[in-house]
Amino acid sequence: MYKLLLTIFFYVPFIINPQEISFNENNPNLEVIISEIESQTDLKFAYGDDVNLTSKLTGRYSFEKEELDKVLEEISNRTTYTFSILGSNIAIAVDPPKEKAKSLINIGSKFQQVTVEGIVTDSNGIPLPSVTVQEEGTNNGMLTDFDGNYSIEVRSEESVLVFSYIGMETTRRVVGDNTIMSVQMEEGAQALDEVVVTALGITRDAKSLTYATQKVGGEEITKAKDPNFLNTLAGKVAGAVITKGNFGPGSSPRILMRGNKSLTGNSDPLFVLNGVPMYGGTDLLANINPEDIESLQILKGASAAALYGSEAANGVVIVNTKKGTEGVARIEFSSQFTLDKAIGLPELQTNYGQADPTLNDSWGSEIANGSDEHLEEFFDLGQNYINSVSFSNGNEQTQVYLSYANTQAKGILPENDLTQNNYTLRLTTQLLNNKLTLDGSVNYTDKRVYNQNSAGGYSALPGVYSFPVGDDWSQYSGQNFEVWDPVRQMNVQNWPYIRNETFPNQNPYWVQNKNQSDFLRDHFISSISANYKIIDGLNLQGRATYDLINDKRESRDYASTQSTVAGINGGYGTSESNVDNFYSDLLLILDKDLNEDILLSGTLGFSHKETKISGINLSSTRETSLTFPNYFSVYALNGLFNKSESLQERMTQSAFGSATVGFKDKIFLDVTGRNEWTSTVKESFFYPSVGLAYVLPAVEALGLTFAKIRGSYAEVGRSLPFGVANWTPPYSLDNSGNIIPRGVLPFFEGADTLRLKPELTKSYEVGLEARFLKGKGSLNLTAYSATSRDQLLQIQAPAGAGAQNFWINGGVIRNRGIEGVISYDASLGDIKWKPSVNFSANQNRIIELSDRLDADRFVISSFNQSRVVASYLTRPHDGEYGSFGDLYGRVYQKDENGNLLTNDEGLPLVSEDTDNFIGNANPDFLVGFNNTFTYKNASLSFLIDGRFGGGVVNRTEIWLDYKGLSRRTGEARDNGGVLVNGQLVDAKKFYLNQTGAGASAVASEYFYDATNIRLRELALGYTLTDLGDVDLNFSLVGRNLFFFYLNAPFDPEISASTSTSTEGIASFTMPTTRSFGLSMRAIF
Amino acid sequence: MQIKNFKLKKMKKLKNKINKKLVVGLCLPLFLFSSCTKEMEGLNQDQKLISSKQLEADANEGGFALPGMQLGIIDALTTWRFEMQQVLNADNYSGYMSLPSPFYDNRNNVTYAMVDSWNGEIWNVPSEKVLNQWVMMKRQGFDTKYPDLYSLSVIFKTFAGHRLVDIFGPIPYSDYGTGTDVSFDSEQEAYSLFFEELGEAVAVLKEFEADDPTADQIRYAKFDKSLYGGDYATWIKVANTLRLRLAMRISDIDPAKAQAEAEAAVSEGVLTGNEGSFEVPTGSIHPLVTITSSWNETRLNAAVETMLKGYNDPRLATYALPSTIEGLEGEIKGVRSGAAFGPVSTYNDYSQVNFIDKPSVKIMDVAESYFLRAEGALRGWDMGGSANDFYEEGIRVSFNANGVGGAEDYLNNNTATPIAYVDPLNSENNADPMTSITIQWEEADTFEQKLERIITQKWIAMYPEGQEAWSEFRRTGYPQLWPVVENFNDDIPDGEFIKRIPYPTSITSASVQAVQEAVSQYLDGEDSAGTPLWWDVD
Repeated sequence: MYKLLLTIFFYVPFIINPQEISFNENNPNLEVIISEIESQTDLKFAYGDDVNLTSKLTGRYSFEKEELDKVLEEISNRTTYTFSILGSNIAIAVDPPKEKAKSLINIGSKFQQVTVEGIVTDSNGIPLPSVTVQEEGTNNGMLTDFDGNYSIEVRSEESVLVFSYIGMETTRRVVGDNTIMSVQMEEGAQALDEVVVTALGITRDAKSLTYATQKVGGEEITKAKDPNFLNTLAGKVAGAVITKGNFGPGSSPRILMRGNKSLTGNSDPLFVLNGVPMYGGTDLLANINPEDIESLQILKGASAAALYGSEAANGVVIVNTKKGTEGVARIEFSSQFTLDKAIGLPELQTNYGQADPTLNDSWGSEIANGSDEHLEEFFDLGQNYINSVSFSNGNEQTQVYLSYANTQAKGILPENDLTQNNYTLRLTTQLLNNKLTLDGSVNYTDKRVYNQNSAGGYSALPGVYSFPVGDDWSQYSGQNFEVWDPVRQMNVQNWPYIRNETFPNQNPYWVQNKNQSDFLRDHFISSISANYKIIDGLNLQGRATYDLINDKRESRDYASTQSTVAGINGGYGTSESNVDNFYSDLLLILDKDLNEDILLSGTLGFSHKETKISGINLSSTRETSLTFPNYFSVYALNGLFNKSESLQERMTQSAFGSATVGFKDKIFLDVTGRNEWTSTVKESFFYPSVGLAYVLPAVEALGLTFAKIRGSYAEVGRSLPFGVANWTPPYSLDNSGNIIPRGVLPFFEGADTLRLKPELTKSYEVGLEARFLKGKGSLNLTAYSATSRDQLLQIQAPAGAGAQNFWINGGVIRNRGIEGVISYDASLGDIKWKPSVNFSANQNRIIELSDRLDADRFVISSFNQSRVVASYLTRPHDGEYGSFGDLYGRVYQKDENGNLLTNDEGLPLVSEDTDNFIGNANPDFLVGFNNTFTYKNASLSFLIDGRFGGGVVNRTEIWLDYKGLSRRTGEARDNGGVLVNGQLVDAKKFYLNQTGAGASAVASEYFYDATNIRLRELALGYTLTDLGDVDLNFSLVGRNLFFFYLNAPFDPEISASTSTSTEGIASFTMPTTRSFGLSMRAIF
Repeated sequence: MQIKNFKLKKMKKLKNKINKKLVVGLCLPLFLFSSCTKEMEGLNQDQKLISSKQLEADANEGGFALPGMQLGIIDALTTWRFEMQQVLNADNYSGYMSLPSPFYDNRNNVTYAMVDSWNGEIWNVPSEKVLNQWVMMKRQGFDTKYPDLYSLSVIFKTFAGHRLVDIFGPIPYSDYGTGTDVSFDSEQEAYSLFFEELGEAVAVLKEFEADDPTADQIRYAKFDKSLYGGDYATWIKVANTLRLRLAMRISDIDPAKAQAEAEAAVSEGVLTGNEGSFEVPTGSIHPLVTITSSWNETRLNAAVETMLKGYNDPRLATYALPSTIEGLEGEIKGVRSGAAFGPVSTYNDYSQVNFIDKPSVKIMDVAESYFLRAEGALRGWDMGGSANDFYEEGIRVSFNANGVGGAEDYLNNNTATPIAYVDPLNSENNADPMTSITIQWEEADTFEQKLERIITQKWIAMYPEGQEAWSEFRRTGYPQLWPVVENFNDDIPDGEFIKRIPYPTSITSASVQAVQEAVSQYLDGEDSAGTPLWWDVD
């Protein structure tokens, strides 16, 4: 904001008046002084990036009607700043400490000997007025005139001239024997001295980091908002695969960083809010108002996570929220309205009807009235309204940030909606002569989600997708989903196709209207941190966060709901769960320049985390249903209804330390160590990390302005899931009180029970950071290898082993890959263009499987339910292990020339073996291409996102083929059959064979390449700045607009669930959506 | 006053809570870690579940697994598992039930196109609920600590084990639970072990019964979910009846052992009408009620309809509900096995099976004991009576158990024979009677006729326990059933019947090696539905 004002005021014609200044400030920072002087004079300050506005000036600064010159001199005497009045500007220069004495002498110096003159232009040769030209180390300086000309006398030929201009890279030139020196300034690239917030909320100079991290600014997240802001990260973070959740508004995405490291654990990274690790995964982070986010820092590697403990093994997303700023009052209002349209709906045939009017199978005769319009008709246009307002203000003692956001979303499915309110209050205060800083915040979110899409087969989608194209949709749609039943004296479902055939085929409107579900969440996060400066560079910090989540769910299935879903009088379920999470830590933080060359920083800390999860659940069973139709209450639960209760407590304590030694700002050495005690693992475990960063000297010769190489090694342990390592596991009870023993046990063989160990990931990474083309371009490359040992696997136990499933430390998995970000500032005059490309490639390999089992393969999931694919970890047959996400299924039999083998009817023969490798779910390569164009007040940004490799098995397609509803089956019939080895075979027979009549499909025929390139995000904005106190920005925004390339007949960015083991399998999954809308932002 | 007290208490509670947090927070420094980790002990389990420690009280640890085992031989509590474990295979193959609509275009288990995901439950249910629990008891040394309760677990294990062998053939049994690469037993080995196990279990229970006749009431009554009230004397009879059943199964392949085992079982005492059938109450409704009436996924088989109609059997009205077919309302009408569906393929109007007000799942019918002895006597074994007497007594016991009268008239009927089947929707399914066997015992009849008579009546009595009925059908070929109308399995010639169920992936995927060995050693190299089991010889 200041900078913006500054540029505007450069053009104000000068008015010189003798100025008198009065103010009285104790320990002010520079910003306060600037605003005091600016408010009392017509002068504006100009300064370069080396001036730190928030740095404190010690002591009392008291002036009573003092002349400006005197005031500046006084400040200059007491600080390292010198001031010079140039026109209507006051330029600030920072003296190097040693030069202090000299520069004081030089105030108003008369020793200038050499005159240098020239013209300052931008990179296109256009003259730049009002550029500050300053002799380094002095307050001798001036501004260029309207034609960019300057003329300055300097002390000697050794003098250095510093040209600075807002928005431009500061340029330094040695005078030498030039008397005419024209300077072309370059558009400012990102400042090198970027500060990043790393582990435990400690801020560090980006230069000193020994591992890869990526920062995403708050504006990136709020540019084109999604009700769940995590979805907006897709394509922006190198090395992260973000899969949108499948349940409509309010569902949480899956985030996978640098590949699957753990097969049974979830892949969620750890979320850290203002330095404090939070409970839960992506669904809880969705509760945060994106407008509150100052920035996100993404730590992908193990080194970065070493200080957060075992929960950070999948990477860390650090969320830093906004706080009030001293002396800055600001009100920000933002509003976004977007529409969601379902895309990628199945392609249906419209030429063939049913053979039996009671079945939806559409292998009947040709019809004339066929229509697939019901698909479009069923899905609503989703609507999202996100409004938020925030206030921030602060004085020197206390700063406050307050915000409120409201999200209203209506899903693409009828009756599915979400309301969310976020309230945030954050207070920061400095006490005891600024030695003690207190920072407290309270965050409350309430979220109400109604009729969220249920999983695959139980959702409304089987009903919509497999509606026979010859039938009249309007008979059952809208309010016709129910009809009056004179016998039951109530409305019942109107759907002739109710039949449990793998899926409970119901009227989709009935599902959305009468299979109701409510989800209500209240989430409080309150946290406080205190930081006490013991001495300069040594701080003691304590933090405590209390996280309270209360979830309530209720489901109401009305009578006449399909009988595998609910009983004769309907079904009812109510449940409540609570999470009580308390985190505290105590840190001793050292950050000190030992001498000019050596910087030492370190942290020593302890943390304690205690989580209590409790829940209670009551629900009817299908068998006993309810006492009365549609009376939904616990009173109505009949007979042996379902009841369960749970109370789980976990505790984790850690002691940790880290140290960074920096030498001459060139070499940085990082060492960390952490010991963890956790209630889910018997023994405590320790894991260290070490890293080195080296800023390469003399890279200018290579055309670089800066280059750094870094390398690190880290180990991260992962504590066991709750209850897994319990040798005497407790038992649950069935509805009638019989004890049901646990089905999953720690591995045993005879009497030999395996003592499970925590997983340990050892990772190496090396990286290169460079800036080139005069700092306009930047490159950040990382190569990594992470090997996870003692993989905790839940595998299907071999027949006869004595358990259904085993927990086992089953093997070694390695993820190797590269990731990088290249950005460039390609601005041309008023047109500013900042392209940036991020990319990643990850290769996942099984390196070893436990030899405790002789088995040839470990069955992770055989997907009996889906009857299509299985997921195994296999031992090598020809020397090569597979990778996680390998999918196995049936294939067609082929001869050695690749021709299909057929039976006597000409139908292709299906492999007897159900376990043939058909592909892998994970992408090989991801790339995101981000672009921002600005022209004056207008801006255009877009994100192109590409995913290469990997695939999805889609059961929806199988089912539609089996039912004769897919367009393929229609075309086959139009053509008189399907060509198999040059012979036409009957279409119905062919597809019944290929789909195994819906029960045992040839999976390889339904494995679709997930490669796609899409326009993920588009925002076109305009900012009105001449409205006085308000900056107003309007943007047209769009998400997921179209595909440049798509191989599958649907959007492959769908997945049956966001769990690790069902990756790459889709089954009546919600269609993805294209969103577009308008956003408005006002800043006061 | 009251309110004040309450408030005070609440505040105190709150204080305690805060204090605890504070204390925990304060014990951060390293030197206190030892005390903190102590606090972690015991946290690694859900506090609302019941722990082994809590189960030690009242010596519950010895028997708590037994109810689940009883209820898990056939999954009586989980309707969909019950359906997949039994209804969608054996209940159809035995001629008791039929699928009333063409699932998967009529290519499913019923038409011999095997549906792997259904068949997985045939293995999963008993292995998870019976065999694995037996392993748990064994691993905890309950065979010596609670020999009587352990012996009961062995009886349940044998029930589960023999059913599995009779379905799949070779299964891992003798080494079950001893390792992770358990090889499969041949059917013969498994059967030998069944006899051994039952013999030992009976010996242990007898010993307990002799030592203290009331021990069972204290130790087992609370865990016995059957109608037997925990009486060891009855369980001894159950075990012996099972032994007799298994002996009969091997009567063709190993007549000598069959006779020896059968005679031993009978001399030790088998079930009589006094004890009744081995049934387990589900606590709510019979799973078949849900499957037939609300899911519409099973109907009465045409075989039951035509057989019982022909015999004018009063049990028919208790076995099935009248149809709602237009023009045939009130009449019982079954569906043909593996029926061909016509243009209208929903047979929901056909007769539902009737288990309303019968909330118990039957595992072994008491009348079976009599029919087994009848067959034994027919084979010339010492069964303590004549084939004729046991045959007639078996029918009487069955009539009794079903609460119907007229047994004597029924027994003396020597004319009635099964009738032809007429499908009102699709004549393709129509069929002439398969047999002309009558009810009345005819001493002059041939062995085969007598055997058919015994097995046919046993089949009627055992309804709806299709697993045993299917096994006996394969062994004896009785009752005579119609082959499936539609057959989608190339391994089974048209007109033939399914011989076994191929291993589902829930067995094969994790036990590749062991399955391959079993198939090559014991199944002629092919895991097919057409391979007869070891005892299935003609």
